[in-house]
Amino acid sequence: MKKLSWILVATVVLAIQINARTITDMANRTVTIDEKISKVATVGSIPVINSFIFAVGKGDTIVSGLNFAKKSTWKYQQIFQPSLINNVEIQGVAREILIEPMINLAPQIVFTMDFATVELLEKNNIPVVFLKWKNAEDIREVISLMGEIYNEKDVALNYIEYFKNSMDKIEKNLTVEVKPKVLFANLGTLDTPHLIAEWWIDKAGGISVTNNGRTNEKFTFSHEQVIAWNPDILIVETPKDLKIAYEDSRFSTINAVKNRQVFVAPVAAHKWSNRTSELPLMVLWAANIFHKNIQNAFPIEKEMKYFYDTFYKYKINESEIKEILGNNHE
Amino acid sequence: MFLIGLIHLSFFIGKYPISLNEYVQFLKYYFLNETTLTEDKIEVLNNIFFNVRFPRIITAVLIGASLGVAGSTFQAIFVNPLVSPGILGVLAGSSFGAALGLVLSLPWFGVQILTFVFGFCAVLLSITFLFISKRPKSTIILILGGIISSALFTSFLAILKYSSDPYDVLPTIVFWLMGTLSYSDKNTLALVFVPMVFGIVILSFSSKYLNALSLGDEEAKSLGVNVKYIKIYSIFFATLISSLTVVLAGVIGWIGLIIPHITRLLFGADNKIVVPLSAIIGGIFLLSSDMLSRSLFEYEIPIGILTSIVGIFMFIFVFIKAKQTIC
Repeated sequence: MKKLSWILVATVVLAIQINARTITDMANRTVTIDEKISKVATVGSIPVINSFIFAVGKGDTIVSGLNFAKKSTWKYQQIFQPSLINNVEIQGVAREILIEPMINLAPQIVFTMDFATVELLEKNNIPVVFLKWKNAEDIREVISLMGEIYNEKDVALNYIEYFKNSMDKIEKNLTVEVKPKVLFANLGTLDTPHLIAEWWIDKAGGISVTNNGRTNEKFTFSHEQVIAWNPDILIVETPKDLKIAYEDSRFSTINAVKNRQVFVAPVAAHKWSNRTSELPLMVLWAANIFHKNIQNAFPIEKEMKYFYDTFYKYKINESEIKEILGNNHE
Repeated sequence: MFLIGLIHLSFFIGKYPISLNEYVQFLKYYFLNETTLTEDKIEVLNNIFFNVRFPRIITAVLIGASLGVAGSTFQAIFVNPLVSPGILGVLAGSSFGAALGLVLSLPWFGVQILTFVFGFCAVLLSITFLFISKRPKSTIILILGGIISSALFTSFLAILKYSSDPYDVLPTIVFWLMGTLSYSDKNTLALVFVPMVFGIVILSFSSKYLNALSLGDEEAKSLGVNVKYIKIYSIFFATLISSLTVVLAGVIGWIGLIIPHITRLLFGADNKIVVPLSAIIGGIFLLSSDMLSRSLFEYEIPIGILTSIVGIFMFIFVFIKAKQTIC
């Protein structure tokens, strides 16, 4: 009888071993995960992380909610994955983890970009994967890890290839010697909210006026500084900023306002100007604005159809494209 | 005269470089209609001077003057040198009112009304404790009342911040409450200019009655002063002008406390002099702080942070000097 019990235990352990594997996350932690992943939760920078899950076509595995998804800004999170709106909330409005609903939800993996969250979830024996996404180069590692976790390495490789090809295409077509001076700004708080903007402005063939080698995520400035920079093109975060740019007399003398060159960065799964899997589209969109010859070579509408169909497994229609791009000019 | 000189000097300080020659040429264009500057340059200088620097300079002077006058008035009414708009809870109440207006997406006028109403409620709450304790002259009770009032409205503010949209409203509330002159614009200034100047002038002219109040209510009455009336309208106007500073630039602390002390140290304790001169010294102090905040570093330091740091050191200095005088 005792022998039989041992055989039973060994069989169970073996079965678990067969159905489990280990991966190394971006904090160099070894995480044991199930062979097949069908139930994940995202916490912290939810729209960013969700965008990477969408990019490997696995939005349907997300079982956690998005408490601010009801706001119109994030409506495309729901469009890409309609179940999000009915999912259980596992973080509060201040992004604090609601540990009991999380335990009750029992996801196979929780994705986070915050190390304090990793420690908290580890203490509660919840499998957690840490993602890091600060520089543009990190995008390759994030998407590769997603491919490995979901057993979708080919999709991840395809995304990396698409990203590289898009950047190469733009670089080859940037024949213009004179690059426009560009400011990416939130005019409500007078700052450039994300460091990644320095990267995509450069890749799209512009000169970022805030690029002084800074390493801080946020760069604050004054009205007077904007007048002194005198950017040729102003990319803003929201339609409210667009209104400020054209109505606040303090901006009236800058080239971007005088020549009506103020644009709102598009928002779909996330704000394209932020850290998102849609970053290749942001570079293409910006290059379209900065250089008219790019506009003819790679129309953004066509790229959007290919991108969302191929990676998000979502057939985006004309009216959605129009809506995403619709707010981007006066 | 010093304040006027400082205002001229501050026209030269900013991120947009303007040479003396350009300044002179611009003045020549403006007054004599002749200049060597290009049309584009004139357009930019016009924008810098009249849309950016001028409103900011006037805002700085007006806020410094308002907080200085409000602080000296409160200190005289309550015969208490530790009282200031910040300590009585005006700034906390006004901050809550303004943040509530922002969360409710009210028009700017509505935000101003809420700012004043809640600033006034905070002062009333602080004073209420004097009557509850039945010790209407107690300094300690008044300070404790102010601490309770500030804490209450700070808690309400925290609830608002907790429940506001972290991507939209919250950053605006947080940045604005740090106290900044970056948002100074001529439209807001135009709305609050008249009530603030009116409040400063009224309080300065009525400062002679404050000397009588400092002798005690009975003594003041015997001198023919309508104590109740003077107290009510002084508190009303001091609250009005200090809450409007929150509308203009968020919470700028310490000025209401230290400026009356500096003025008394320099010119004596006569309220007839202290109250109006607190306006001038407050204006000088905040304008100088703003010039520092604009020029010290590549990034502009929020003025509220700078005045707190400078204010603490000045308060220590005043405290030491006062102690020496007493000893």
